Amino acid sequence: MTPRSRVSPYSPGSLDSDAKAERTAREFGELMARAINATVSPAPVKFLQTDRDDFEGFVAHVDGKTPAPMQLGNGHYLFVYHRLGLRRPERYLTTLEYAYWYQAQTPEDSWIVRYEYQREPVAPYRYPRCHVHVNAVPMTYQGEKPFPDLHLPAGSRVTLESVLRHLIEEHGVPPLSPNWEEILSATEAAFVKIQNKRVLAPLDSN
Amino acid sequence: MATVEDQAPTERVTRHELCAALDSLAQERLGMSAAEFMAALKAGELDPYDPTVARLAILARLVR
Repeated sequence: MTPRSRVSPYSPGSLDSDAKAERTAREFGELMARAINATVSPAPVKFLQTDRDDFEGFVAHVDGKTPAPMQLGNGHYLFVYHRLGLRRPERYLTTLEYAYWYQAQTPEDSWIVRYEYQREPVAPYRYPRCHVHVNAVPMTYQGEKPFPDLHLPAGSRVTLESVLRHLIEEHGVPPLSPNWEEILSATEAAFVKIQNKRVLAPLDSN
Repeated sequence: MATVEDQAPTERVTRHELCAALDSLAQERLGMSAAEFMAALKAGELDPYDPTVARLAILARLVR
């Protein structure tokens, strides 16, 4: 048998069995873990499969079996949660939701910035599915809705790698690996390849 | 080189376990059970922008 690298080539396409879906989701989790562990935190990150009839699970650092924030080298915390499931008749592994919260301490109310995406929000939902919340209020802001509640549009996706780069370059998180940029470029390229295979425009373009 | 095949099986979590975790967190943070939290969330009785509600809602979507 040809040895399989720990760095997944990740080009799964249609997944016609739960075993393939499970392996692919685990590899997806390994990619996320590799990106995080090379940059901002050595905390374990893994895929956990739930017991739903339709395949589903999530990638996160966990406390017990529930997602939990990871401490960073600058003393702050990062909560990373990425829910995966199968969609379309072809059974593509699909991102159903993600949440990347940069927070000052472990309690969630210490959040600073939240990057969030929901593929299938409950109607009525009139906001960008991919958005960012900022826990601040510009002095010039006079809107009725509290500024931290605004769903600031963030394009089609905010990649985990872009958040990790941002934390290192602008928040003073010391990178864990000397070749972290190279590793992030590799994992980001793998994720882009996945997304390009699964573009469902226009329904998935919000 | 380590291989995917060498690795431990995928870890699993049941909705019962997740519901128990949600129940514990909802009791601790909001003084309500998991069932009460999910009902209140569905009825729009909770502030979805509250960070604790938003974080617990993540678990609720896994439990549903």
